[in-house]
Amino acid sequence: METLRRFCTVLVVLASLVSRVTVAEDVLTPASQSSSEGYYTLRWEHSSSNFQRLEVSSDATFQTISVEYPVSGMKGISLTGYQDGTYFFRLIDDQQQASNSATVVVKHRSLSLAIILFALGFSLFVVLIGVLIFSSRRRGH
Amino acid sequence: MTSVAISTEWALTIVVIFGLLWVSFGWWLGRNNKTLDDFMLAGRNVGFAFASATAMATWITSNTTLVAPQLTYQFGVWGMIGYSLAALGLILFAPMAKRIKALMPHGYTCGDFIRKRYGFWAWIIFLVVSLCYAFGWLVSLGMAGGILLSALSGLDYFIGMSAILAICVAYTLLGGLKAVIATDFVQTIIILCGVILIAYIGITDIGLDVIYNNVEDKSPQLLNLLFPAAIMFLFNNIFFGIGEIFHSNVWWSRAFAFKENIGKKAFLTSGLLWLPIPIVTGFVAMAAFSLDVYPESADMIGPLIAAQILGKVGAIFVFIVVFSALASSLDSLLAATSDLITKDIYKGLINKNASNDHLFRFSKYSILVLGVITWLLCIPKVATLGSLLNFTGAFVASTIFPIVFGLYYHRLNGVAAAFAMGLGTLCGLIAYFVIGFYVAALTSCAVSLFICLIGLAVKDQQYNWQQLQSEE
Amino acid sequence: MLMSYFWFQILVYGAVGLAALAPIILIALVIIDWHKEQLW
Repeated sequence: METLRRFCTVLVVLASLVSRVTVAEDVLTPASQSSSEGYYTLRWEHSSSNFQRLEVSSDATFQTISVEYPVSGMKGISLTGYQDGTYFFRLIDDQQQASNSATVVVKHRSLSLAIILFALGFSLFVVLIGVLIFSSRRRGH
Repeated sequence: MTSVAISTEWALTIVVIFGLLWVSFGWWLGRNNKTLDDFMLAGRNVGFAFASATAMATWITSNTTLVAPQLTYQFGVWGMIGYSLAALGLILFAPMAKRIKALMPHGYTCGDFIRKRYGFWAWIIFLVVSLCYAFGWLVSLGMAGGILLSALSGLDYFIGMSAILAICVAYTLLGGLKAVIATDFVQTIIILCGVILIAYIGITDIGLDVIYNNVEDKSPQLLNLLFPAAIMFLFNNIFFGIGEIFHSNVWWSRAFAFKENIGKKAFLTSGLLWLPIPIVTGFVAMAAFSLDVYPESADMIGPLIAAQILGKVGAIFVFIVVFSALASSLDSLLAATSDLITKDIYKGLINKNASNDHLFRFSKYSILVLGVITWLLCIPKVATLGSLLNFTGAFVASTIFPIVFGLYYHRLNGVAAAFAMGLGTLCGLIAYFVIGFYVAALTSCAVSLFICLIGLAVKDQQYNWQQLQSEE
Repeated sequence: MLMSYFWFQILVYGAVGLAALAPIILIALVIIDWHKEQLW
């Protein structure tokens, strides 16, 4: 009986270590978003838990944590510089409990489209400079 | 950043002290204002030093100190370089300032030019564009003031916003353009010293190599010169900036106010001196990765890092710098917009026989009324109002080529100019909603150019430049 | 294509250096104008 109880305790402890009991509130928002610039914001305003860090992982099970951000005292965070990919986020509070997870899909804008717009803008700019230089000279400046 | 960096008492004290300083300065300078030329155009005789300082100060807005770090944080090196290129507006305006003063030595506003050069309808469309932009900028400045003061110090938004507006309205009303220009000079020095100090301490305390290595390590995307979104937005932002300066009475009134042969040198100098500022304010945002400190919202990255680097002192510096940047733009905008309302709308449309003395008194009232309207629009703190400024890209970029062609070529007629501005704006707005904000100014400018070229080809107006100097 | 540390240094140090000159230049210009009574 004693052994069974101990065994169950160990199982529960192991289970909680592996899966991390989630907090009842779904505080991390938005649950899912996309970013075409590699920057985005996550908020967890309506929460009473004292979150210590934000974990980032490339897999939904959070087996490997790629980055951790310190967030104690904050109600949101704005991150940047991400490359293309899908990222999963969750908050961990001071009792090692995890919040819901949020997903961010980063897909940068097409470089070829960007270069086309850049070239169009540049041409228009060259026209403007040309007109200004030519006109100033003409008027004897 | 949830924690408030400086106490509300400190914040209020700083606001009151600077407020008293600017207002008494404005009152003192305004004692000698006797004529409309004194009040609106500082006697048309501003020298090189003040001219350069005022052009630079006015173009340093709260955005330069807050948005430059934000854009660097979001877009990396292109964010700050792209922002710096807004200096092109000042630099390209330099030859035009000379031309404007030469063509219209007795002119008052850009509206005067458009009306005389292009006729009634182009003038009306231009006024709509100008006022939309002016109010967009006024409201965004007013709101920024309140939001920033509350973020840095917990000072209530309503109090902060009202205080800044009241102070700026007071000294602009009392001293006219002279007060605007003189306070601009002092505010420029404050801003420059503040941002240089923060940058210097950031470099010495953390180290540029540490900043670079941490970015390269954790977010190399920010060093990417082929960052798609950044490249995509670049020229749209440049044309937005150029459109802002080419059309706005803030800059035209300076062209009229500066002494002869000063305008070109002053705008060129101010443009070159302004060029590095967004980089100086922006690069500190990259220190986030070295300090392992991240903002709650991207627009607070600047103050956040400054407070980390310098502690409470840093936050106070940021506060004073941004307050000065806000004031130096608000006063110019209040003065220039009041000029438009007084000279173009009141005298142009309502009371055509108003004497200059009458207009002198009227312009003071219009500054007050403008301040009140701005204040009313800022009270509800509608977030979208703050981003109203972005919207105006489609409006202002449409004026670039009509103004350039109008100043230098006698061929372009008023109808073409009116269509260029009207259709340019419309197409820009459509592009804004259908494709995205990053094509609005480009589309507007391109369409406007196209129509101007048609106008130039189709008819030779043979405009007589002498007409610009005649009284109505 | 990342910006190298070399260019990053040039960009930042160059900007801070130029910005540091600005208040000196502006104050010098005001003093000159004031002596020549050309302020406004």
